[in-house]
Amino acid sequence: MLIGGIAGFAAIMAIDLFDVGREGGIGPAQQIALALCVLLAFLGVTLIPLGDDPA
Amino acid sequence: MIAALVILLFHLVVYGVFALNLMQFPFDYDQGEGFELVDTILFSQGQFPYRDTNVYPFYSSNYPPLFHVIAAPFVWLFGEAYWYGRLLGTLSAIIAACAIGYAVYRDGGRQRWVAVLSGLAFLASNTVYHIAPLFRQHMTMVMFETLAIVVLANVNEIKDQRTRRRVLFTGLTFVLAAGYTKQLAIATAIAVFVFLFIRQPRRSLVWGVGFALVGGAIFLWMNIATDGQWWLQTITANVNQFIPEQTVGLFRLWFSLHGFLIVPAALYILYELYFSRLSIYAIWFIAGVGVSILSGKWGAGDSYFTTSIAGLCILSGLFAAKTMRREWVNFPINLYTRRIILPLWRVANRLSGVGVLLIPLLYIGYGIATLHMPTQGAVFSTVADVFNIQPNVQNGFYDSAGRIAGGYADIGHLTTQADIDAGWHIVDLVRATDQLVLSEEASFNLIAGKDVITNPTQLLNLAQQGLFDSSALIAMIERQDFGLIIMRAQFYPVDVLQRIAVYYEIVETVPMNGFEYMILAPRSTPLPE
Repeated sequence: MLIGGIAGFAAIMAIDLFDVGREGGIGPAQQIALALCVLLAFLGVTLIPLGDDPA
Repeated sequence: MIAALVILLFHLVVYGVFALNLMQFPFDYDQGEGFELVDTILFSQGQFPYRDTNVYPFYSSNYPPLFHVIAAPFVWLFGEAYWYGRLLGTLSAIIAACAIGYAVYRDGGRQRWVAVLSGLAFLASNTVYHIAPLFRQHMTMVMFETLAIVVLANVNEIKDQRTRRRVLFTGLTFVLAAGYTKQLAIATAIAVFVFLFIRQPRRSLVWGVGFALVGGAIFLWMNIATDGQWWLQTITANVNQFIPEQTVGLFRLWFSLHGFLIVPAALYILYELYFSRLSIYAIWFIAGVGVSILSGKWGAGDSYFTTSIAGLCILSGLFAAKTMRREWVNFPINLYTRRIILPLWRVANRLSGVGVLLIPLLYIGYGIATLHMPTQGAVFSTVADVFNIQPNVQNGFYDSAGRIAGGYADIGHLTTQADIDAGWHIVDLVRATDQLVLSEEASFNLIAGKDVITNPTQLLNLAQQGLFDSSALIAMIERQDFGLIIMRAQFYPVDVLQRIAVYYEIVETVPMNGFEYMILAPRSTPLPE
């Protein structure tokens, strides 16, 4: 989840880096997606202390 | 518990009344229903509805075929009618509700009351209520999705290989059926394979390859059989403009209506994440919420939340069942148990007692939050008077959703005899002309025995991406080939609407179902360019 969140965040930011023809910066949809990626990464971080013990 | 049951049973009665009311209504109620009927008729004749929209009759479907194929035998038996498509949608929601109740009963420790409330909660949702009884494929997709999830939920625990394979095959067949009912089932397909992968990676890959081969082969066959129109009309044309404000508004509405069950569902997911194992229900719910983001697409709406609503009904039901069994005491020891749960241990018993009281209140709160009902008629007017419920939408209907969020379907009210009379009046106008009739809704032409020309929203989908050549249709408008044009929402592409305005004029406006149907006739002299 941590890796997924970071990768998703980077991919969304990359849209603006590579798609130079776009205007208007980070739009509302991108903001929502970025927030979700941060949330995903945060959840991933909080799961690390639990290790890989099966429940 | 009895109070919660009474409220949710009242919702079920309203659902039944609405479904019966719509089955007796012979015209389009929700824009686009008639085109679902046209697709069904074409399938009943052994024809695909995925067609070149640049040539007469400029018609194509943008949905996969399964719902129409299921409905096709009704055309052979009963001719062209709306009631059987609406019956299928109504029954699909009831089957999905039963599957939700069964899942909660089976996996929630056989708590009968909670299982019943969970199933009824699904039918009580404002979204389910007004989407299900339509001649539309969405609820049939949700039914297949729900059946797939419920069948596959415990598949990894089946020891007998033959039984496990049979269950996997059944579950994945339901996923495939959902996908070929509506494209949105992609969320469920992803959820299923994520679940299978995190539990048994090798098995998920093997079955995933088989699933992809079968699904891909059907896809390829239809694309070849329709000369590429299947891909163009159902995939390419569905990539529409995204309106973020619509998504945000619908999410707010979704939470305000279903929040009483979303919160326990979310708590149950956190419990699974930190103290147990992620179930297929949790992954499905998250995927369902994810796909709801697409509700901001042009042409999309609150129906995109239906999968998540099914998921939250199961998860909140499992939360409620665990609470009723006072089972929030067996947490595995880990960092979070030590930091969060153990300090609460002293009050755990009291909390569990409160929880048992809280569960019925959650369902009562949900029943009130989702309240929607007619305020007219023998029984409903009495109920409305007693509880001082005032109508806030068409035809004396009350809807707690308020219908203020963009994309929330403006439907759910009952039809009246005046609406039926208005529809027959429009049919009479269509019959009175010897020429073709261009109508934004198919029912008038179907009943009058005339060609159904265009599927306006699909033409707009295509036009927005530069995939519709309007020249042939515009030439017909300029030649005034149409004796009448009937519009309700003016969904045609802009250039088509502009030519209509030049060559046709409004001669009558017919109110029906709270909408104004504009009847246009050829101008004696076109407007100057």
